[in-house]
Amino acid sequence: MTDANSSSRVPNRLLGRGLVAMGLAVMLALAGCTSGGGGGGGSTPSETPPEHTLSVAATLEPASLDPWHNTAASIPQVLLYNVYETLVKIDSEGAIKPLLAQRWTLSEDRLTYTFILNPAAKFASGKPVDAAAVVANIERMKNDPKLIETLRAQLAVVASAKVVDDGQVAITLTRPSLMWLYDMSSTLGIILDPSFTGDLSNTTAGSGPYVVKAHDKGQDIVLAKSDSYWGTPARYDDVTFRYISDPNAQNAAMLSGDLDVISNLQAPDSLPQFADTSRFTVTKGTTNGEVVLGLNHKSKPLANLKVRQALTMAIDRKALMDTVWNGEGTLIGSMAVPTDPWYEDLSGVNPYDPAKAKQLLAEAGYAKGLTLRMRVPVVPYAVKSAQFVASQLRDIGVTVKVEELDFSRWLSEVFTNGDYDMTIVAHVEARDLGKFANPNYYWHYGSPEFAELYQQADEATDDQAVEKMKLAVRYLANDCAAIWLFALPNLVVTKNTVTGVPANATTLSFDLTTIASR
Amino acid sequence: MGLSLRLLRRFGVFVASLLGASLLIFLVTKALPGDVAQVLLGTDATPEAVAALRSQLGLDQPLAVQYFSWLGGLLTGDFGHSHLSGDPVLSLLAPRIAVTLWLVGIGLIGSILLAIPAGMIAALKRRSWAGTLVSVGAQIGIAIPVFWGGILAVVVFAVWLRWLPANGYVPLLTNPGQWALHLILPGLTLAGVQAAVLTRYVRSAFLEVLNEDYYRTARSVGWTPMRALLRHGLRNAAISLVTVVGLQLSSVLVGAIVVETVFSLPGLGSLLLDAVAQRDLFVVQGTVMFLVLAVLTISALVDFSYLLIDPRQRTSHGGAR
Repeated sequence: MTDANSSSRVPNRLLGRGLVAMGLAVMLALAGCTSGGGGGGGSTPSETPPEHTLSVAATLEPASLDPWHNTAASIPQVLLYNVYETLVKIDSEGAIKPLLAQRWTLSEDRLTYTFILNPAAKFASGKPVDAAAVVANIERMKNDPKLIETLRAQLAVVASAKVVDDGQVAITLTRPSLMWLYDMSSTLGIILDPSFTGDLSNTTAGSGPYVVKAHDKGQDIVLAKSDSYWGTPARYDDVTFRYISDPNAQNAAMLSGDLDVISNLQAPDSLPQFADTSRFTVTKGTTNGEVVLGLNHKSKPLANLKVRQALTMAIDRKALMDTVWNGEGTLIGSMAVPTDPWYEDLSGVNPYDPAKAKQLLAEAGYAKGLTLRMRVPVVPYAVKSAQFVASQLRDIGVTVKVEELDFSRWLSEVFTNGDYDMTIVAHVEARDLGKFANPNYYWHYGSPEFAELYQQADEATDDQAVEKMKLAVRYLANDCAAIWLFALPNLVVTKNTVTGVPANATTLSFDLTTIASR
Repeated sequence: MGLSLRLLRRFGVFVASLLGASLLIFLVTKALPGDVAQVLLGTDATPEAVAALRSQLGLDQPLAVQYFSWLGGLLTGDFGHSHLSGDPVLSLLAPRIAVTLWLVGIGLIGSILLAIPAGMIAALKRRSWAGTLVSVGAQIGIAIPVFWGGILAVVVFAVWLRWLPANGYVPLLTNPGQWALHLILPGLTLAGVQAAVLTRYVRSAFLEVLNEDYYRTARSVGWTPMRALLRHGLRNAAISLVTVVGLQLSSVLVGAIVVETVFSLPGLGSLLLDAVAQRDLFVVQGTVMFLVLAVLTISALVDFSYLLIDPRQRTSHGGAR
C-alpha cells in the first residue's frame, strides 16, 4: 500500500486547507516562541482525570471499520491489537511475539505451522478463541469474492487450515514463506468472532482489550474498555481517536491541552513547539514508511541503468531530509527500514556526486540533458521533496517538470495508468519490498533477477533468510530500482504524564496496550 | 402587477435556478479527474478491478442517464448513497447541517448584535474618537480573512491563554456545556468578521436617517439623539439592513465552511472537502445542492420580507413612488 499522508488513503489537504495550514503554522511557531515562559504546567480548560481517558489525534478518518473490504490504513491504526487481535504480533523492535497463539511450531518441510492457542483467549462476546474460529476465519477470507487484493495475495500461499484439537490449529502453505508469518501479525491474522453476523463496517467483533463504543462520523472513534478481556485489562475506560486532518490544528489542540497524544506528528518542523518538557514528551522512532522516488521503468531514459544511477547520485539525500523533514527520519537507500531484520544502511550506494552523475548521463547518451515529468500527490513531503529534487537535477542538466495532483487523481493517472516518469510517495506497509517483484506494479520494474532473489529469501530457512533477504535488498539499491529518499520518522507527542508509547511504528496499528498515564 | 403574480414569478425563478444549479453541479463533479472506484480500491487497484467497480457503481453509464437518475432521486427526496461508506447521503448530511446551522446562526445573530450598536456609535459619534475607533476597527475586521481571524483566536484563547478548546465539536445533547465551549471561538470568529462588514452598512444607514426631516423633528421636540434614532431610525435603517444581511447570509455560509476547517468542526464544509478529495460524488452533489437550496431560499425569503417591513411594497404599484 502506498500512502500519502503516512496514515491512510486519501490526504485531505486541498488548497484551501493549505492556506489555513500555512497561516496556522506561522502563528503557532510564533506562539511556541513566547509561550514557554507563560504557560508551563497550567491547568487546561477541559481537564478530566487523566488516568481514565485518553484522547489521541490521528490524521485520516476511516470511512468504514471493515479492514477486509477497505484498504484504508486508518482502519488497522485504530483497531489492530486494540480491538482485533491476531495469532502473532510484531513488537516495537520488529520481532514476532505471541498474542492469541502462545507459541507455534514449524514442520520439517517448513510448510506447516502449528499454532498453540492461549486457552484463556476469548472474544468480547464471551466465546472462546479456539481452533475452529481460526479455521473459520481463513475459510471466510478464502471464500470472499470482495476481499481486498492485498489480503488475497497474502492468503494465496495458504493451502489448508485444519483443527488439530480445540487449542491447536495447523496451517499448511503451498511453499515455505517467511513473509507469511509476518503477514499474520496484521489484518490477515485477525481472528474475527465467527458467531458475529452483523455489519462489519459499523461494528466490530474482536477479542481485544477495547471495543468500539461510538463512531461519530467526521469527528472521532471512541473505544471503551472491554470488561471481559482475557489478558491484561485495558488501562483506560475510554480512548478517543480524534480525526484532525490539518497537522497544525492537531498541534493547536495539543498545545491548548485538549489532547493527550498526537499519534504521528505530520509536520516535523513544528517539533520546537513541544520543547517544553514540563508539559510534553516527544518519542522519536521509525516507521515502515519509505519515501520512494518512483521511477517508471517503461519511460525510455529510465530503463537505462546509467540514467538511474546518475539521477540517484545527483540528489543529496541527507540535505533533502534536512530541508524537507527537518532532519527527522532515516536515510535508507533501499526498500527496508531499520526495524526489518534484514535492514542495513544502503544510503552509501551511489553516493551524492553530481560530477560523476553528469558523466554517467553523458555515457548514457544524454550529454545535452533530458526532460522528465515528476507527477506527485499533493502531500507535504512529496511536494517539498519534488521541488528539492527538481533543483538538484537541474544542476546535472535534467529538466524536471513538476506537476502536483490531488491524491485521487494521482491514484488514477500515475498509480493505475502509469502516466509519469518520476513520482514521490511513501510506501507505509510493512516489509513491502516484494512489490518490486511485480512487473505490473506502477514502477513496471519486474527484474527477473530480483524476483528470483526475493523468492529464494522468502522460502529460505530461518538461519539463512535474513542473509538472503539482504541480497535482494542490496540488488534493488545497486540496480537503482527506485530512489529511496528517506524513511519517515515516528514522532509521537504526548502530555508528559503519558508513558509507554512504543518508539517505533512497526505495524499500521497505534498500539494502546503498553500506554499508561501517571 | 398583483402580489400573487409577483410571488408566482419569484417562485418560478427559484425553481429554474435550482434546476440550472443541479446541472452545473453534476457537470463540474463529473469533470473532476480520478474517481471513487479508484479511491475505494486504493493501491490494490488493477485496471480491471477499477473498471468492474465503476460499472458496478453505475459510473460507466451515459452522462445523461446518470444526471436524470440523480435528478429523479432528488425530486423524490433520495440523494443517493455514499460510495465510500454506503450510508444514504441524507443521513450523512443531517448531523452536518446541524453543526453548520449552529455556526451560521451564532455568526449571523452575533454579527447583528455587534454591528447595530457599533454602527450607531460610529454614526452618532462620527466626529469623536469613539466613532473613529469603531470605523477603524471595522476596516481592520474587513481586511482580515476569516481563516486568519480563526487562527488568531485559536492562538490567543486556546494556545496562549488555554481558556477554550482549540478545535473539535461536542453535540448539544451529549454535553451542553462542552457544546457551548467548543462553539465560542468559531462562533465569535465568524460573527466578528461579519460584524465588521455589517457595521459600515449600519453606519451609513443611520447617517442617512440623521439627515431626514422626521429625525430633525424628533430632535426639535426635545428627544435625545439616541431615542430619536431608536424610535424612528431603526425601522427605516432596517430595510437596507435586511438587504445586506440577506446578501451576507451566503457569505456567512461560506465563512462557516472556512471556519469549520480551521476549527475541525464536522459540518457541511468538512464533509464537502473530504468528499471532493475522495471523489464521493453523490455526497459532493448532495452537499452542494443543499447549500444552493439554502442560499436560494434565503434570498427568496429576503425578497418576501421587504413586503413585511415596508408597507409601500405591499401596494399593487410595487412601491414605485
